[in-house]
Amino acid sequence: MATAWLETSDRLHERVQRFAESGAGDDDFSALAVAIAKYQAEASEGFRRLVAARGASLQTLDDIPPVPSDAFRLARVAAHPSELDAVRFFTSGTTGAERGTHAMRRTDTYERLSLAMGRRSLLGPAGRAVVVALAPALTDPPSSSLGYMMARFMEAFDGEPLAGAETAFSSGSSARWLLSEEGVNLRGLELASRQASARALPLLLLGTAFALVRLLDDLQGARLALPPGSVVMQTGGFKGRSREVSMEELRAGVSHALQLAPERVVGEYGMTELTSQLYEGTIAESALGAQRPNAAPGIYFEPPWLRVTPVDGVSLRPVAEGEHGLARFIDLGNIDSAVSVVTQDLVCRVGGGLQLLGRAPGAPPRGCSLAVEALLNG
Amino acid sequence: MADGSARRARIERLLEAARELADGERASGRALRARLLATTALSSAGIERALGHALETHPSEAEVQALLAATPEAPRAHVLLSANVFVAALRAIALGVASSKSVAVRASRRDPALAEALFALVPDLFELTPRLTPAAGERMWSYGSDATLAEVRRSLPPGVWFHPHGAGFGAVVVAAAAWAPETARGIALDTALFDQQGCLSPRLVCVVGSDAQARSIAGQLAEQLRALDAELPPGPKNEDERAVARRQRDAAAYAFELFDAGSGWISCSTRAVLPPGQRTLHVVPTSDAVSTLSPFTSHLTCIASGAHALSSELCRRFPGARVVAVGEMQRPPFDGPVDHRKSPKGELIG
Repeated sequence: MATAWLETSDRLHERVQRFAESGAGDDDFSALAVAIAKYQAEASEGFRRLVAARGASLQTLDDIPPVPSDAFRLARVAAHPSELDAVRFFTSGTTGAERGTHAMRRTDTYERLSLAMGRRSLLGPAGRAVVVALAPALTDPPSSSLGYMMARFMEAFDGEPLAGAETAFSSGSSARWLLSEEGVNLRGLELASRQASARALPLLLLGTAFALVRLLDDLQGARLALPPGSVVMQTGGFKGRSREVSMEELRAGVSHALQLAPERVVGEYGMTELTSQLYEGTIAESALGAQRPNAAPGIYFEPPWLRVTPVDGVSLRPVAEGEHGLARFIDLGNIDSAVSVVTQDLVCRVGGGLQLLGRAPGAPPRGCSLAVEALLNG
Repeated sequence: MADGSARRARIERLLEAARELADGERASGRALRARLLATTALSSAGIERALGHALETHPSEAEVQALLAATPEAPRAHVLLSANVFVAALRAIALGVASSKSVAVRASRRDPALAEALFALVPDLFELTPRLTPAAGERMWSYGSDATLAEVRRSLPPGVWFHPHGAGFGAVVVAAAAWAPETARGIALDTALFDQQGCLSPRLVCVVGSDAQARSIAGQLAEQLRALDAELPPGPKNEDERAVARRQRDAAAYAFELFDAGSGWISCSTRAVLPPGQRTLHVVPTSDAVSTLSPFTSHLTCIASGAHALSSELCRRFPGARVVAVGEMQRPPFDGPVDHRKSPKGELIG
């Protein structure tokens, strides 16, 4: 028998999915966010403690205390018991500190939201592409939210077998995951590109920044022409796994190597702790590009079900227009975790979108006391 | 090599300089206090307590003899200081001075106050230099993060004896059954001193007892730390530091039961984690403190034990840490390196 909290959660999932599909429908963003926050305060002991500690009223968006992204490393951030987890996504972790976990009870909302914004940002009106990833094959069970999203893009935007490599479509096929310890599978990339040409479709190449650097390194100056209309989705940082290059340099290098216009290398911003993603709006024929004509590279746009607000690091109140602050995300997709999350990323509102300004400076280490990042949990 | 009396005399002169600097009535003592306000990020009261409580101005004869016995001699000694708690410069320079009559010291760029003040009073005991160039047969005492020490080690030529001192932290073990309310003040003082920037500062409190007893002790610790905010105010924080503190407090509030401790906080849960410092403690109930602390062994510098029955077991199981009484964590005996994690003989670079 379903418990009350489970019914509440399910109703919220349905409301959020309807909201995402209709744009607004009968609901409004603030009402949904407040309803989710109240549900989380009921169902999550951790969030209830945070609400009490901050004396929060949960009446408006700014009254919802954001959960620091660090909390995902310290505790289970979930409104449901662990036995109901459908997936658990882990943060990549850049130090010896414990990795964070984002547990999801339902994956359908995540899938619908990520597919909707991915389609809006990366594809033209036809909504189809051959999709491959510069990423290692997805593990089973999946542990990377990015890998999981890439697999859903393969299924939803492609769904056809790669001739010569697959007899039936499979998002788990090694022909679609083109990065391994040995480097980039250049032959696989060429094959996928030829397939796209044969099917008169663009190629959608999904990759992290470090994987794209690896592609450039492995190409050794050679060039590979992708079919017309192709798009490269670039996400994430380097985390010490390759030489670091600026986003501008990487965009120029990939654009040159794959013979694409620079604006067809599209930045995506996502975090394990979130359900929703932001994209640059540079693909003119995409729905996002049509809505944001002449959007400049480096400006990221959120979907209607996500609001990002630069906030003051101490008060956590929104900063004045044009000033930079910590990114506070109110993500309606985070129904069973934390609807409001604050990170250490600095952002600034520019032209209706967001400019990402890197990490906020940490407190400078003083003294010989062990840095907490170095030893969080034995 | 110098005879014992010459080494003893050098140490005594260094201690005499330290005593002068600790004296707020002396011009040099007043000047040092003013300088430390700018370099340490501690409050005036915090600096005063550190000078009065933690600067080793009056070690016993036995301690000094132990320090001399434990310190290997060398034709030349080098001391690389980091932005440590400021009083640590005295012990570090003392080890160099005990080792050699020729000592080079590179002070911390951010907090050179005590090293420079000592140098002003006893300039013939050591030289201050921006660059250390140890050679084979010489000794190098280095302080800093583990990453910095690894870098220093790689830079040393073969034949140098290396004495690294990396980051660490302290822990407290108390038996709930033997808990006395005044113990909370001792732990709070150990915590508040240096605003918990020191490698001896407690971060983790193991309560041998039930969850309820641990929560009760956490509440008492929070009360004592709140009281110390007035008596021993924390140093000023800039905007970035305040933002980090806010984030850490909110993350802890989500993850653990939290007790407001004024400028800091106390968290409590059955899982042993290390809080971020700046007057924060994590209280963990346990039936076996040794097992609880074991994962942290390599970084444990000091364990305060309010349960005397446990002390000998803690000494045996954590030989790298000093086991002391509550309230004494910030002034270990002046008998050698600040903790026992590394052999005083040093490591010969091959």
